[in-house]
Amino acid sequence: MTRQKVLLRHVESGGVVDADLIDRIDLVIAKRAEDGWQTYLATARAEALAAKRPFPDLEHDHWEWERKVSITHRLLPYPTLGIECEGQVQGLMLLETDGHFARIATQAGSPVVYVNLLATAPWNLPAVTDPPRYRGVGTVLLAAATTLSVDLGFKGRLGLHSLPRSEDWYERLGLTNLGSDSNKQNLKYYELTPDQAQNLIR
Amino acid sequence: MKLKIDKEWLDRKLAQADDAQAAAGGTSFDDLKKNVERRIVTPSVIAAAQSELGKVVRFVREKKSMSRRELADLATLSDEEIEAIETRRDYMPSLRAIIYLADALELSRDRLKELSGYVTRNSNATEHSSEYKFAANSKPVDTVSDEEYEAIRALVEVLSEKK
Repeated sequence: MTRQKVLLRHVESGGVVDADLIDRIDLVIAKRAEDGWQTYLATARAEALAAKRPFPDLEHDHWEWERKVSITHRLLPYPTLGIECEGQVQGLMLLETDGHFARIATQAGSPVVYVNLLATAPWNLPAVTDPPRYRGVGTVLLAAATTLSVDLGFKGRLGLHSLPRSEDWYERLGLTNLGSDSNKQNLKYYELTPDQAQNLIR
Repeated sequence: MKLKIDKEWLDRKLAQADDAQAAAGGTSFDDLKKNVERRIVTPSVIAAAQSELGKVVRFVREKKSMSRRELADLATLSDEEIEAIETRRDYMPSLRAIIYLADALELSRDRLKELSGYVTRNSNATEHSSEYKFAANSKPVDTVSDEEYEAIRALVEVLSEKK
């Protein structure tokens, strides 16, 4: 597990804050994320109910980070990345570096880094918390995954299945949309070529 | 992995694409577990075993990261017996061996006995046992299809239910 300094944007003040990018999270951090996120979400739900406010339907809130990290953290082809800021886990990513191959015709068959999971803490989601605490969590994690792909010799090639509300973000970052994937709950599959990867990191 | 993030970069990226909704995958724990299992017990490993019992024993042994010797010690059987069960098509282990194996691999004794042909089958039992059946290989192959792999995984799951 190694840490390096990155920045996030603090939404309310508009300024930037220091954060840690963690390369390979351990079970302690996975548990901290799971406990922190679930507790926050349950509290927010209860408050919304008490105030008779509708609570948003999240696309993904059964994170189970602790269980997922427990079965992958000793295995080389499942790197994880996390961002911590002010003692709290702001976002996590689970990658696969083996067994996934590119689908874009110009790079078909070449290995890609596959993003198995990417999620940010519920307090960074505008639907749950207004204003959300931090921006940049997803951006930094995706740039880190792309850099990892370069380090592995995959030239920045990356593949992922987007959740419906995230599609716009991936398209703005220049990933190629290869359409719905019937093998993955009809989520849209996106891929990054080496050129697109360079633009994303730059 | 070294990443250089400065304020200018972050501002520029967020202006290009607001990441408030950043998420990917949404993979469930069960799907991830299957995915991990497939790396530990690869389809080619399963193809190497010649009988249903052999495939099950190999699957569970690999999943538990045990060598043949370790399984043999745990089950108080010989290395040769484990090898025969895993690799020979027509090998018929003793009832004692099946029970020791079931205990060592944490499988249901009764179900493993049935898989090995030790349960006297009346017509109902035969029907019941059909869920254990899948196309056996007629000749050695390098790997198994996704369907066969899934059938073995499902078979292991059925056998793992303690009854």
